[in-house]
Order: sequence, then C-alpha cells, then structure tokens
Amino acid sequence: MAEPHEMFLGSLMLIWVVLIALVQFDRVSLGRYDYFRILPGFRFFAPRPIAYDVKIFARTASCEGDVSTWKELFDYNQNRGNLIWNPHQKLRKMVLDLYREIATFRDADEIKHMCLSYLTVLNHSSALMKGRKQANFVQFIFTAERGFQDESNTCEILFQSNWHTI
Amino acid sequence: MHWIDNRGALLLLAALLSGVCVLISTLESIRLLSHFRDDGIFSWVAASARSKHTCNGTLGKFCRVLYGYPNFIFLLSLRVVCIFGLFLNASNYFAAGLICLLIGVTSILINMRGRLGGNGADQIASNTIIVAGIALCIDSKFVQGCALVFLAIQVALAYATPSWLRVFQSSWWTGEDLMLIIRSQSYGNRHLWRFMVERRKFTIITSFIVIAFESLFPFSLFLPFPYVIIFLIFGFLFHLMNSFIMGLNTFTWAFLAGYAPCLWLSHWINQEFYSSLR
Repeated sequence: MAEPHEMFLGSLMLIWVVLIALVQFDRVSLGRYDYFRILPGFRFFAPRPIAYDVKIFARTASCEGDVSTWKELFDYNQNRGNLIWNPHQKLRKMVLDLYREIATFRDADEIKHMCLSYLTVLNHSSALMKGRKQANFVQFIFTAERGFQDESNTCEILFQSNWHTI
Repeated sequence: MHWIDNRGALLLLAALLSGVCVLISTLESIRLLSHFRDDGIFSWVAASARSKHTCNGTLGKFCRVLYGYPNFIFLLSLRVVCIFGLFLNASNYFAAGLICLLIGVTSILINMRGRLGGNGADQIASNTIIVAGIALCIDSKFVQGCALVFLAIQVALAYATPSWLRVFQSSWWTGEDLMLIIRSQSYGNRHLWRFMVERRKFTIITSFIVIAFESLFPFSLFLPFPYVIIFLIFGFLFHLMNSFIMGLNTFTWAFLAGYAPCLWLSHWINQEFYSSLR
C-alpha cells in the first residue's frame, strides 16, 4: 500500500495528465488558466496545415511623401532541416503566431493597432527602420507565399498596418 | 532485476533525453538573443503588456529584472548549466532528480515569459523533466510508476490528438495537406516537393502511413509486449525524417524521451494487467 505522500503525488500526476487530455479539446478555455505553460497543445499541422509561408515586410516614408521599398524583417533562408541545430525555426514560429493573433483583427480597422502582436511588430519595424534616411513613418505587412510552387516570389498581402510615426 | 523493471533508470533516461531537447532549445534562444532586446520581436517590453500584473507593481519590477534584456541571458545560462549538471550527476538518482526540478523551474519561468513563438516540444520536454525529477527524488516504486504512466500517456496523446483530427479531413487522405507542408519553405523541402508532385501515389501512401501510425500509437501499448517496439522504431525514424525534412529538430528528442516510459507501460500492462485477467 502506498504512503499518503505517494498517493498525493500520484494523484497530482493523474490530474495533470487528465488536464493535458482535456486541453486538447478546448485549448481556449483551459489554456487561459495555464499560467505555468504546463498544458501543451498537440495540434501539430492539424486538422489542416497552414498553406503558405508567412513573412513580414516593412517600409518607410518621409514627410515629403517619398516611400521606400519593402524590406523583409527577418533574414532567415528557407528551412534547413537538421537534427541538432535550427534556431530560425523559433523565428518562423513567432512570425506565424504573431500573424495568427493579428489575423483576428484583420477587419477591425479601428482597433487593430491595439492588438499586442501588432504593437510588437510595429516596435520591431520602427527600430529597424530608424536609421534609414528620411524615415519619418513606418508601415508593415504580413504576406503569404506559396513556397516552392511559386518561386517567382510573388506574394499575397494578408494584413497591412496603418502608417505610424517612427 | 530485469532492465525494464528498473523504473529509476528509465526515468533518468527520459530526463536525459529531454535534457538534450531543452539544451538545444536554450542554445538556439541564446543564438537569437539580439531578438530579445527591447526593440526585438521577442521583446519583454511588448510581451509584458499582456497582463496588468507583469507591467506594473512589484511583480512587474521583478519580471523586468528577470525577463528584460540582457538579464534574460542569465536565466537561459542557468538552464544550460543545470542541464550539464544533470549529465554529470546521472549516476546519482537523488542529485539528478533535484537538478531536474531546478531545470523544471527555469523552464517554467522561461515558458512564462511569452506564449508566442514556443513549440510543443519544449513543453513536452519540460513536463518530462519535472515529472521525472519528482519521481527520482522520492524514490518510491509507486510514484515512479505513476511518473512513467504520465510520460507514456503524454506521448500517446501527442501522437493521437493531431492524427484523430486528420482522420476526418479528406485532404489528408488524398495527400493534399501533406503536399502543402512539404511545399512551404518554412517546413518543406524543394527536392521532396518535386518528387511528390511527380509521384502522387507515394504522397497518398505516405500520408496514410503517418495517420495510421499516429492514430494507432496509443493502442500499440496494449499489444503483446515486444510489438510496441515496432511502433517505437517507426516513430524514431519518423522523427528523424521530420528533423531533416521539416527542421523539427527538438521534437525528435522530446518524443524519444517518452519511448522508455511507453516500453515500460506496455510491459506493465502485459505483465500485471493481462496476467491478472487470466
């Protein structure tokens, strides 16, 4: 027969694994209370994978109205599969997560700039563009590219920010 | 004692493999450290605004010290030191257990910094280390058994959840969704994409095998004992391919850590449960 403290620890593990199972059904409600991030979601590429590569570009404008060309914010090349080392995967995942959050505000023009992911990207693009000549305003976009199917680098704009003072 | 009955050793193996996952993930974060600056994409200034508690008051000040740039590197470095400590103290279960708990605390603190940009492998690995740490410290057969069951169920859920969702998507059965993943520059591979475009049957069969393997994995634990090994070997090859093709490097180590508990659970079900039914 197990000791009381052993029963306690065993029950704790049982409750934890039951919560992990439950969170798979309802990530939103239970995930909200997952302050310690111990309830992982296992929906890897399911039920449907994201069909394109999401990238972020930014450009600047001067007070006179001269607009610069688009610059990609993250200089990572395409996926380099490796068993040991793949730091850019974290950046790609971050860009995807930021887009997922921003996408929910896509049609809410009045409040989209209050979304935290929006502010995160704006903060980063402003800092990157600050040093440019005559850069008074900044704008960013999220784009979708069809990977190896279309290597002509044409892309679709998924989300466009307002112009902001740097 | 038969090796499969050595619960402490199996838990230690799980902790060590998760340690490799966490080590890689931490070193990758250190490599991307410039992105953790106040104007970076992983900036704490932006992330802290998600809660009123983390941007104001005493907790806010504490979080700024812990998570701000460049202080955050101390937390990452502490985790690296702890993982090396775990590798060096692997012969002492109690010491290894304590270090696992310390890695667990640093992992929770790192994961709490921001919910965006993290992946499932990091969470699986930190859960594994915490549970293995508790069980190694307590040195009770019952708690160690519970920990092994926890880890095996965690892996089974990680396989079953996405595949059971895919079963109801016709686009997975036609190979269309697998093609979408391989087509992307983020998770795909140009050569494999071209190969798959020319050989649609290969794509359909591969897609079917992936769904079948993942959705049947939980049931493999109930098969007569040695048969689970076939699933584990297939799973290992599956993750190896995912690393090289899709760049999901840390997932290989995180899932591999759960294989020893799966082996134990399958053996336990056969030994204890089925024999009691006879």
